Amino acid sequence: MIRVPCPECRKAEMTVENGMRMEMTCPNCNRAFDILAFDPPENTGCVTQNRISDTDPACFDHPGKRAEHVCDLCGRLICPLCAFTIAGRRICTHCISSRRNGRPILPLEHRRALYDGLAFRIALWPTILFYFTLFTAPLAIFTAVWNWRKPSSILPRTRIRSIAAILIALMQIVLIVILLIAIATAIRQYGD
Amino acid sequence: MIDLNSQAVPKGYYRRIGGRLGRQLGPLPLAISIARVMIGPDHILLIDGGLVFERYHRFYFRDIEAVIVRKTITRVLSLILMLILTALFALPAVFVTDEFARTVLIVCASLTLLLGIIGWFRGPTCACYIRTAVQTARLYPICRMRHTRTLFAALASIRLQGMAPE
Repeated sequence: MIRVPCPECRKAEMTVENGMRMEMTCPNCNRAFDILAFDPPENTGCVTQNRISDTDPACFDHPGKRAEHVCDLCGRLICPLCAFTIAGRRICTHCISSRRNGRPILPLEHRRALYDGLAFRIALWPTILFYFTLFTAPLAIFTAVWNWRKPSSILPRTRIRSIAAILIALMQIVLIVILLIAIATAIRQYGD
Repeated sequence: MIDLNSQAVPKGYYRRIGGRLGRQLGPLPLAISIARVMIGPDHILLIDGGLVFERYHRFYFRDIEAVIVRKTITRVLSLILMLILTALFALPAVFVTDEFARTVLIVCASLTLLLGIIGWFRGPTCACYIRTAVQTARLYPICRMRHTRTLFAALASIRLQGMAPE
Protein backbone atom coordinates (compact mmCIF):
# COMPACT_ATOMS: atom_id res chain seq x y z
CA MET A 1 0.00 0.00 0.00
CA ILE A 2 1.21 3.48 -0.87
CA ARG A 3 -0.10 6.53 0.89
CA VAL A 4 -0.32 9.42 -1.55
CA PRO A 5 -1.00 12.89 -0.15
CA CYS A 6 -3.40 14.95 -2.23
CA PRO A 7 -1.18 17.09 -4.49
CA GLU A 8 -3.74 19.89 -4.54
CA CYS A 9 -4.83 20.46 -0.94
CA ARG A 10 -2.05 18.47 0.80
CA LYS A 11 -4.38 17.94 3.74
CA ALA A 12 -5.56 14.39 3.13
CA GLU A 13 -3.99 11.15 2.00
CA MET A 14 -5.22 8.52 -0.42
CA THR A 15 -4.21 4.90 -0.07
CA VAL A 16 -3.44 2.97 -3.24
CA GLU A 17 -2.54 -0.68 -3.77
CA ASN A 18 0.99 -1.27 -5.02
CA GLY A 19 1.26 -1.82 -8.75
CA MET A 20 -2.34 -0.78 -9.36
CA ARG A 21 -3.97 2.00 -11.33
CA MET A 22 -6.91 3.40 -9.40
CA GLU A 23 -9.29 6.32 -9.52
CA MET A 24 -9.42 8.00 -6.12
CA THR A 25 -11.12 11.05 -4.68
CA CYS A 26 -9.49 13.25 -2.09
CA PRO A 27 -11.60 13.09 1.08
CA ASN A 28 -10.79 16.71 1.87
CA CYS A 29 -11.11 18.62 -1.42
CA ASN A 30 -13.21 16.04 -3.32
CA ARG A 31 -11.01 16.25 -6.40
CA ALA A 32 -10.78 13.09 -8.48
CA PHE A 33 -7.36 11.63 -9.30
CA ASP A 34 -6.16 8.83 -11.52
CA ILE A 35 -3.24 7.24 -9.67
CA LEU A 36 -0.77 4.74 -11.06
CA ALA A 37 1.16 3.31 -8.11
CA PHE A 38 4.39 1.36 -8.43
CA ASP A 39 5.70 -1.28 -6.13
CA PRO A 40 8.30 0.03 -3.69
CA PRO A 41 11.88 -0.75 -4.65
CA GLU A 42 13.41 -3.85 -3.17
CA ASN A 43 15.62 -2.95 -0.24
CA THR A 44 18.79 -4.79 -1.16
CA GLY A 45 20.91 -2.90 1.35
CA CYS A 46 24.63 -2.55 0.95
CA VAL A 47 26.67 -5.53 2.04
CA THR A 48 30.40 -5.16 2.41
CA GLN A 49 32.78 -7.96 3.24
CA ASN A 50 35.97 -7.82 5.28
CA ARG A 51 39.26 -8.82 3.69
CA ILE A 52 40.18 -12.35 4.64
CA SER A 53 43.78 -12.34 3.44
CA ASP A 54 46.35 -9.80 2.25
CA THR A 55 45.90 -10.96 -1.32
CA ASP A 56 42.26 -9.81 -1.27
CA PRO A 57 41.80 -6.49 -3.09
CA ALA A 58 41.28 -3.65 -0.61
CA CYS A 59 38.84 -0.77 -0.98
CA PHE A 60 40.63 2.56 -1.58
CA ASP A 61 38.77 4.27 1.26
CA HIS A 62 38.15 1.29 3.52
CA PRO A 63 41.39 -0.73 3.67
CA GLY A 64 39.74 -3.36 5.83
CA LYS A 65 36.96 -4.01 3.32
CA ARG A 66 37.16 -6.21 0.27
CA ALA A 67 36.95 -4.26 -3.03
CA GLU A 68 34.36 -5.66 -5.38
CA HIS A 69 34.19 -3.00 -8.07
CA VAL A 70 36.47 -0.79 -10.11
CA CYS A 71 35.54 2.86 -10.59
CA ASP A 72 34.67 3.33 -14.27
CA LEU A 73 36.24 6.78 -14.35
CA CYS A 74 39.44 6.63 -12.28
CA GLY A 75 39.98 2.88 -11.90
CA ARG A 76 40.13 2.88 -8.09
CA LEU A 77 39.19 -0.35 -6.37
CA ILE A 78 36.06 0.25 -4.33
CA CYS A 79 33.78 -1.66 -2.01
CA PRO A 80 29.97 -1.70 -2.54
CA LEU A 81 29.64 1.10 0.02
CA CYS A 82 31.74 3.45 -2.12
CA ALA A 83 30.23 2.48 -5.48
CA PHE A 84 27.47 4.62 -6.96
CA THR A 85 25.66 3.46 -10.06
CA ILE A 86 25.15 6.40 -12.38
CA ALA A 87 23.89 5.91 -15.94
CA GLY A 88 24.77 2.23 -15.76
CA ARG A 89 28.35 2.78 -14.50
CA ARG A 90 29.97 2.36 -11.12
CA ILE A 91 31.65 5.52 -9.91
CA CYS A 92 33.54 6.22 -6.69
CA THR A 93 32.83 9.10 -4.33
CA HIS A 94 36.10 10.83 -5.28
CA CYS A 95 35.09 11.14 -8.94
CA ILE A 96 31.69 12.48 -7.96
CA SER A 97 33.14 15.13 -5.66
CA SER A 98 36.21 16.04 -7.71
CA ARG A 99 34.23 17.36 -10.71
CA ARG A 100 36.34 15.84 -13.45
CA ASN A 101 37.64 18.30 -16.05
CA GLY A 102 36.26 21.14 -13.96
CA ARG A 103 32.71 20.08 -14.67
CA PRO A 104 30.31 17.88 -12.75
CA ILE A 105 29.51 14.45 -14.11
CA LEU A 106 26.85 14.77 -16.80
CA PRO A 107 24.01 12.81 -15.14
CA LEU A 108 24.54 14.74 -11.89
CA GLU A 109 24.36 18.23 -13.34
CA HIS A 110 21.35 20.14 -12.13
CA ARG A 111 21.93 23.54 -13.67
CA ARG A 112 23.56 25.03 -16.73
CA ALA A 113 23.86 28.52 -18.14
CA LEU A 114 22.76 28.86 -21.75
CA TYR A 115 25.03 31.63 -22.99
CA ASP A 116 24.09 31.10 -26.63
CA GLY A 117 20.45 31.82 -25.83
CA LEU A 118 21.47 34.80 -23.73
CA ALA A 119 23.59 36.25 -26.55
CA PHE A 120 20.71 35.74 -28.99
CA ARG A 121 18.29 37.59 -26.70
CA ILE A 122 20.75 40.40 -26.08
CA ALA A 123 21.10 40.77 -29.84
CA LEU A 124 17.43 40.46 -30.72
CA TRP A 125 15.37 42.17 -28.05
CA PRO A 126 16.93 45.66 -28.16
CA THR A 127 16.12 45.93 -31.88
CA ILE A 128 12.68 47.14 -30.74
CA LEU A 129 14.40 50.18 -29.26
CA PHE A 130 17.20 50.73 -31.71
CA TYR A 131 19.21 53.13 -29.50
CA PHE A 132 20.15 50.37 -27.06
CA THR A 133 21.84 48.35 -29.78
CA LEU A 134 24.82 50.72 -29.55
CA PHE A 135 25.67 48.94 -26.29
CA THR A 136 23.94 45.60 -26.68
CA ALA A 137 25.36 44.63 -30.10
CA PRO A 138 29.01 44.53 -28.90
CA LEU A 139 27.82 42.85 -25.68
CA ALA A 140 25.99 40.15 -27.67
CA ILE A 141 29.10 39.47 -29.79
CA PHE A 142 31.27 39.34 -26.66
CA THR A 143 28.84 36.96 -24.90
CA ALA A 144 28.62 34.66 -27.92
CA VAL A 145 32.37 34.57 -28.63
CA TRP A 146 33.58 34.43 -25.01
CA ASN A 147 31.30 31.51 -24.16
CA TRP A 148 31.68 29.75 -27.52
CA ARG A 149 33.38 26.69 -26.02
CA LYS A 150 31.38 26.53 -22.82
CA PRO A 151 28.86 23.68 -22.64
CA SER A 152 25.30 24.59 -23.44
CA SER A 153 22.24 22.49 -22.63
CA ILE A 154 22.72 18.82 -21.77
CA LEU A 155 20.41 18.05 -24.68
CA PRO A 156 22.02 18.06 -28.12
CA ARG A 157 22.00 21.65 -29.35
CA THR A 158 23.63 23.40 -32.29
CA ARG A 159 25.45 26.73 -32.14
CA ILE A 160 22.84 28.37 -34.34
CA ARG A 161 21.85 30.81 -31.59
CA SER A 162 25.40 32.04 -31.11
CA ILE A 163 25.89 32.41 -34.87
CA ALA A 164 22.55 34.20 -35.24
CA ALA A 165 23.42 36.50 -32.32
CA ILE A 166 26.77 37.42 -33.89
CA LEU A 167 25.19 38.04 -37.30
CA ILE A 168 22.34 40.15 -35.91
CA ALA A 169 24.75 42.15 -33.74
CA LEU A 170 27.09 42.71 -36.71
CA MET A 171 24.16 43.93 -38.80
CA GLN A 172 23.17 46.30 -36.01
CA ILE A 173 26.72 47.65 -35.77
CA VAL A 174 26.84 48.16 -39.56
CA LEU A 175 23.50 49.99 -39.41
CA ILE A 176 24.72 52.17 -36.54
CA VAL A 177 27.90 53.03 -38.47
CA ILE A 178 25.85 53.89 -41.59
CA LEU A 179 23.52 56.01 -39.46
CA LEU A 180 26.44 57.85 -37.84
CA ILE A 181 28.06 58.49 -41.24
CA ALA A 182 24.74 59.79 -42.60
CA ILE A 183 24.32 62.09 -39.58
CA ALA A 184 27.91 63.34 -39.90
CA THR A 185 27.44 63.98 -43.64
CA ALA A 186 24.18 65.81 -43.03
CA ILE A 187 25.75 67.98 -40.32
CA ARG A 188 28.67 68.79 -42.61
CA GLN A 189 26.34 69.72 -45.49
CA TYR A 190 24.08 71.90 -43.36
CA GLY A 191 27.09 73.35 -41.57
CA ASP A 192 28.49 74.60 -44.89
CA MET B 1 25.41 4.23 -22.31
CA ILE B 2 26.44 7.87 -22.19
CA ASP B 3 29.87 9.41 -21.85
CA LEU B 4 29.83 10.82 -18.31
CA ASN B 5 32.31 13.56 -19.17
CA SER B 6 30.71 14.70 -22.40
CA GLN B 7 28.99 18.05 -22.71
CA ALA B 8 25.65 16.69 -23.88
CA VAL B 9 23.82 13.41 -24.06
CA PRO B 10 23.77 11.69 -27.45
CA LYS B 11 20.89 12.26 -29.83
CA GLY B 12 17.97 9.97 -29.11
CA TYR B 13 18.96 9.41 -25.48
CA TYR B 14 15.92 11.31 -24.29
CA ARG B 15 12.42 11.25 -25.74
CA ARG B 16 10.21 14.25 -25.19
CA ILE B 17 6.79 13.76 -23.68
CA GLY B 18 4.30 16.58 -23.77
CA GLY B 19 4.88 20.05 -25.06
CA ARG B 20 6.85 23.06 -23.93
CA LEU B 21 4.97 25.00 -21.34
CA GLY B 22 5.82 28.48 -20.14
CA ARG B 23 4.85 29.52 -16.65
CA GLN B 24 5.28 32.70 -14.69
CA LEU B 25 7.87 32.42 -11.93
CA GLY B 26 7.62 35.86 -10.39
CA PRO B 27 6.06 39.28 -10.70
CA LEU B 28 8.41 40.43 -13.45
CA PRO B 29 7.08 39.87 -16.98
CA LEU B 30 10.37 38.30 -18.11
CA ALA B 31 10.47 35.78 -15.24
CA ILE B 32 9.10 32.98 -17.36
CA SER B 33 10.21 29.38 -17.17
CA ILE B 34 9.73 27.10 -20.14
CA ALA B 35 9.51 23.52 -18.93
CA ARG B 36 9.97 20.29 -20.87
CA VAL B 37 9.68 16.68 -19.80
CA MET B 38 12.04 14.12 -21.30
CA ILE B 39 12.06 10.42 -20.66
CA GLY B 40 15.43 8.66 -20.53
CA PRO B 41 16.42 5.02 -20.14
CA ASP B 42 16.25 5.10 -16.33
CA HIS B 43 14.72 8.43 -15.37
CA ILE B 44 12.34 11.24 -16.21
CA LEU B 45 14.05 14.57 -16.75
CA LEU B 46 12.16 17.79 -16.05
CA ILE B 47 13.91 20.76 -17.63
CA ASP B 48 13.05 24.19 -16.29
CA GLY B 49 14.48 26.72 -18.71
CA GLY B 50 14.71 30.34 -17.67
CA LEU B 51 16.22 33.30 -19.49
CA VAL B 52 19.80 32.25 -18.84
CA PHE B 53 19.80 29.07 -16.80
CA GLU B 54 18.37 25.65 -17.35
CA ARG B 55 17.56 23.56 -14.30
CA TYR B 56 17.33 19.79 -14.38
CA HIS B 57 15.21 17.65 -12.09
CA ARG B 58 15.66 13.90 -12.43
CA PHE B 59 13.10 11.39 -11.23
CA TYR B 60 14.58 7.91 -11.40
CA PHE B 61 12.10 5.17 -12.16
CA ARG B 62 13.20 3.20 -9.12
CA ASP B 63 12.28 6.17 -6.89
CA ILE B 64 8.86 6.87 -8.38
CA GLU B 65 6.11 5.66 -6.10
CA ALA B 66 3.14 6.92 -8.07
CA VAL B 67 2.04 9.02 -11.01
CA ILE B 68 -1.02 11.10 -10.21
CA VAL B 69 -3.28 12.67 -12.82
CA ARG B 70 -6.15 15.05 -12.29
CA LYS B 71 -8.47 16.18 -15.06
CA THR B 72 -8.78 19.95 -15.27
CA ILE B 73 -11.31 22.24 -16.92
CA THR B 74 -8.66 24.41 -18.57
CA ARG B 75 -9.80 23.26 -22.02
CA VAL B 76 -13.37 24.41 -21.43
CA LEU B 77 -12.26 27.67 -19.81
CA SER B 78 -9.87 28.50 -22.64
CA LEU B 79 -12.59 27.73 -25.21
CA ILE B 80 -15.04 30.01 -23.38
CA LEU B 81 -12.39 32.74 -23.20
CA MET B 82 -11.63 32.41 -26.89
CA LEU B 83 -15.36 32.48 -27.78
CA ILE B 84 -15.82 35.64 -25.70
CA LEU B 85 -12.86 37.24 -27.48
CA THR B 86 -14.28 36.12 -30.83
CA ALA B 87 -17.60 37.71 -29.96
CA LEU B 88 -15.85 40.90 -28.81
CA PHE B 89 -14.13 41.15 -32.17
CA ALA B 90 -17.02 39.90 -34.31
CA LEU B 91 -19.84 42.06 -32.90
CA PRO B 92 -18.24 45.43 -33.67
CA ALA B 93 -17.36 44.10 -37.13
CA VAL B 94 -21.10 43.90 -37.91
CA PHE B 95 -21.67 47.57 -37.15
CA VAL B 96 -18.43 49.13 -38.33
CA THR B 97 -18.76 50.87 -41.68
CA ASP B 98 -15.06 51.32 -42.40
CA GLU B 99 -13.90 48.48 -44.64
CA PHE B 100 -10.33 48.31 -43.25
CA ALA B 101 -11.49 48.23 -39.62
CA ARG B 102 -14.02 45.53 -40.45
CA THR B 103 -11.33 43.41 -42.12
CA VAL B 104 -9.01 43.76 -39.11
CA LEU B 105 -11.80 42.82 -36.70
CA ILE B 106 -12.85 39.82 -38.79
CA VAL B 107 -9.23 38.62 -38.98
CA CYS B 108 -8.86 38.96 -35.19
CA ALA B 109 -12.16 37.15 -34.59
CA SER B 110 -11.12 34.34 -36.94
CA LEU B 111 -7.76 33.98 -35.21
CA THR B 112 -9.25 33.77 -31.72
CA LEU B 113 -11.89 31.30 -32.95
CA LEU B 114 -9.18 29.23 -34.63
CA LEU B 115 -7.08 29.23 -31.43
CA GLY B 116 -10.11 28.12 -29.42
CA ILE B 117 -10.88 25.30 -31.87
CA ILE B 118 -7.23 24.16 -31.93
CA GLY B 119 -7.14 24.19 -28.11
CA TRP B 120 -10.31 22.12 -28.00
CA PHE B 121 -9.11 19.54 -30.48
CA ARG B 122 -5.76 19.12 -28.72
CA GLY B 123 -7.68 17.07 -26.20
CA PRO B 124 -8.77 17.13 -22.55
CA THR B 125 -6.44 18.91 -20.12
CA CYS B 126 -4.99 17.57 -16.92
CA ALA B 127 -2.43 18.14 -14.20
CA CYS B 128 0.20 15.44 -13.76
CA TYR B 129 2.26 14.83 -10.63
CA ILE B 130 5.05 12.46 -9.77
CA ARG B 131 5.23 11.11 -6.25
CA THR B 132 8.55 9.96 -4.82
CA ALA B 133 9.39 9.08 -1.26
CA VAL B 134 10.36 12.65 -0.48
CA GLN B 135 8.35 14.91 -2.76
CA THR B 136 5.42 15.39 -5.07
CA ALA B 137 6.45 17.31 -8.17
CA ARG B 138 4.17 18.62 -10.85
CA LEU B 139 5.12 17.92 -14.45
CA TYR B 140 3.79 21.12 -15.97
CA PRO B 141 4.36 20.24 -19.64
CA ILE B 142 2.20 17.14 -19.28
CA CYS B 143 -1.06 19.05 -19.45
CA ARG B 144 -3.08 16.95 -21.89
CA MET B 145 -4.53 13.51 -21.30
CA ARG B 146 -2.85 12.15 -24.44
CA HIS B 147 0.56 13.12 -22.97
CA THR B 148 -0.39 11.24 -19.82
CA ARG B 149 -1.28 8.16 -21.82
CA THR B 150 2.15 8.36 -23.49
CA LEU B 151 3.82 8.67 -20.08
CA PHE B 152 1.87 5.73 -18.66
CA ALA B 153 2.69 3.61 -21.72
CA ALA B 154 6.39 4.52 -21.45
CA LEU B 155 6.48 3.71 -17.74
CA ALA B 156 4.60 0.46 -18.29
CA SER B 157 7.01 -0.63 -21.03
CA ILE B 158 9.98 0.24 -18.82
CA ARG B 159 8.46 -1.80 -16.01
CA LEU B 160 8.16 -4.72 -18.39
CA GLN B 161 11.86 -4.34 -19.17
CA GLY B 162 12.60 -4.51 -15.47
CA MET B 163 13.95 -0.98 -15.15
CA ALA B 164 11.27 0.28 -12.79
CA PRO B 165 10.25 -1.40 -9.55
CA GLU B 166 8.28 -4.51 -10.35
